[in-house]
Amino acid sequence: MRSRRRGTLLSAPALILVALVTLFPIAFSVYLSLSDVQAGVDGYEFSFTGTDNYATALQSSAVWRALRFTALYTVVSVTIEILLGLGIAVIIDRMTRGTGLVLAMLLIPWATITVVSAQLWSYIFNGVYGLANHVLVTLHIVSSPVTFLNSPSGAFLALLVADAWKTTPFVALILFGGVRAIDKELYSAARLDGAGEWRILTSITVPLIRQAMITAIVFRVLQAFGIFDLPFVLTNGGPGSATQSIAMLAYNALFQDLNIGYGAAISCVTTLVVVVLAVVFLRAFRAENVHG
Amino acid sequence: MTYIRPRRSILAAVMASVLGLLATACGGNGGEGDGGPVTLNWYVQPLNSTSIWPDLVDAFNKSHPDIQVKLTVGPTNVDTVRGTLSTQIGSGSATPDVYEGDVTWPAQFAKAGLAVNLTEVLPADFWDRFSPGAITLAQYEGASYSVPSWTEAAFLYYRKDLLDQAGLPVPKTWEELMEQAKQIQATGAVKDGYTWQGAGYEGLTCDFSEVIADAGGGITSSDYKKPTMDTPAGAKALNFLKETISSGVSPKATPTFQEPESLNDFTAGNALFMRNWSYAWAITQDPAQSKVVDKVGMAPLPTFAGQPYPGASTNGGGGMYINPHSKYQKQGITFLTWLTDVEAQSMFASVGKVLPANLKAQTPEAQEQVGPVGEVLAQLNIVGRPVGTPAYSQVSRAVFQNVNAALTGSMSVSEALKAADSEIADALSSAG
Repeated sequence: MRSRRRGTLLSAPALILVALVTLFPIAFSVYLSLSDVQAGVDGYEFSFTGTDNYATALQSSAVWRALRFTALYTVVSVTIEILLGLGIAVIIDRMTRGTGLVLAMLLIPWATITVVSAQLWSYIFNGVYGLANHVLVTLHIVSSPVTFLNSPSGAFLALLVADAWKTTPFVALILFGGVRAIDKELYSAARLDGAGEWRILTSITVPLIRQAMITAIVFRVLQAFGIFDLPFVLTNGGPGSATQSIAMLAYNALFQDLNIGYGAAISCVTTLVVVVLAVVFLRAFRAENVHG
Repeated sequence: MTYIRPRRSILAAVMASVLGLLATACGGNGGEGDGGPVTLNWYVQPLNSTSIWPDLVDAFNKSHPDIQVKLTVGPTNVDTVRGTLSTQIGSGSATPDVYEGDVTWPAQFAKAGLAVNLTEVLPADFWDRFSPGAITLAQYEGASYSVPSWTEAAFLYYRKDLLDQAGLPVPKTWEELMEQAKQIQATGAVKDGYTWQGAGYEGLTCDFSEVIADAGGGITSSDYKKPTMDTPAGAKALNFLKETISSGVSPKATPTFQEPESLNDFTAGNALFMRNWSYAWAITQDPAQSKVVDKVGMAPLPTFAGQPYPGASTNGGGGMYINPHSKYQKQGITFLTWLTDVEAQSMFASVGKVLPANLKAQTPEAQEQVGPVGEVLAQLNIVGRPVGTPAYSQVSRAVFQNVNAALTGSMSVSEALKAADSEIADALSSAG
């Protein structure tokens, strides 16, 4: 007992610090979202307005459009990244030489700052001098340059490619950790029993790396739902507002329109959606664990 | 339990250093002593590649030993600067004392208490040094919150070699521009006829403000009570912009073009005409960046047939604002008075290569120093964006997002105009 109390005591400063840098801002933004915030010469003035900001947000077609885009983007990008990441993890696991080098190379896209890589992707997808067009035209796949960012589906595709390039390695590394831990004798036994590669993947590899998979999915869903920097730089939410994410909407309200209460309400709605998703995933994971 | 001892000492060391940091952080914010010169923090955006800002600071500091201006040059993206300044000043920071802000900010910044009402603190005759248009376009509810420092507007750039060769005059109407473009494109001398800014950003609102004004309309009613995009003028403007692309006169990628993309197309020798700001002149004449040196002319933008020439030009550039929390507002005013007087204003032309805002500094000599911009600027028909409402940023977003959607074909012209009007109406009503 004594050592536990001492432990609590010793960790208290850290816990207080964590509370200060996480709980306080969250509580404060909830407070902001329930207020009409007016900056005045003497600083900000807050007047409590209840759920007005939430009502405005939920009635706004822009908010629903952004939520739809963000949700679709999350589902599609995470699915692609999990599938590609799984493929890469299985391949690296089978490599006998150069594993370390490949792992190091995988880290490069993940370590590149998104604002930088998004800017590079915008050069690649440029409709006039872009590299993607150069390749497509040279290979005679298209006859004249394609303006990718001119159509909602083209812009969506460009975002998916850029996102998969950056985050597939992250997923692959997490899944690789899971795959590495599988006892190789299981594979030999399965082969002895005549199981094919597909059967081995679906009946042995995937079930045994479920924990790593859930971790990867939870991380990626939370990140994808909060996506801001990539569309901000690559498409600026365009064409029109087709690729405007919910986080960009909050940014516009907060820092362009100086509508602090409204921007906070949009942020809180986003947070709520993300928290619900996280709880659902973790519950599903726990339930599976109990059964498995 | 001896193992606890070293940990405790580490903890103590950490706590001590944290406390130490806090102490220095608090102590570092000491004020100016009495008697010494006052430090005035001045925040600007990059103007161009010249040394205009530091040169102005040197000149001021030399002539004012009791005020020392300290310069900070921020990023080029004006929306990033807005985010930075509004959060900093909104939370009560006394610095920067004087800052450069966009021409679209006065209403929003005035309403949010981020700028000093300069009409109240500057003598009435101070404003005589500027053209009345430059003042009224930046006012909110009849008061000025910024002083203009230099003049920026939109121009038509044209390839004078190609027009001369074909024996064509500089176009005065959009119809004429389209005809000439098609004619010269057909000869193979240029790939593109006309490049402009169609991406979904503030620049598209500028381009659209011009053509809707040419068509006899505007984005909102002049009292900011109702949107006026979904009107015959709005439809004419948007249809024209779409036609520049569908006819092949403007590049297919125009809906992704900001200033640099259109400028690249023009300086690569690919385009006959370009809409751009005066800053672009120097770049078209720089052999390192341009293939069209000495082949370029500047003129006012055209208008639609039947409308008085010249067409509308959006005003751009920035103005200088004073932070209401500044401890040195009086010194800030001294600085702004100096900055807009003839001596400093002449430096904008001689060093900065841009046209000064002070009328007395707009001398023939200054005009020569800034190139054709100086000659053409006086002829322009300057039209502002609807910046008199504090909800301008939402209004502008409603314009550029929906116009951009129509340009890419993901919305029809009438859908886009309706959507823009409904979003503008929401914005105007929320602004009260």
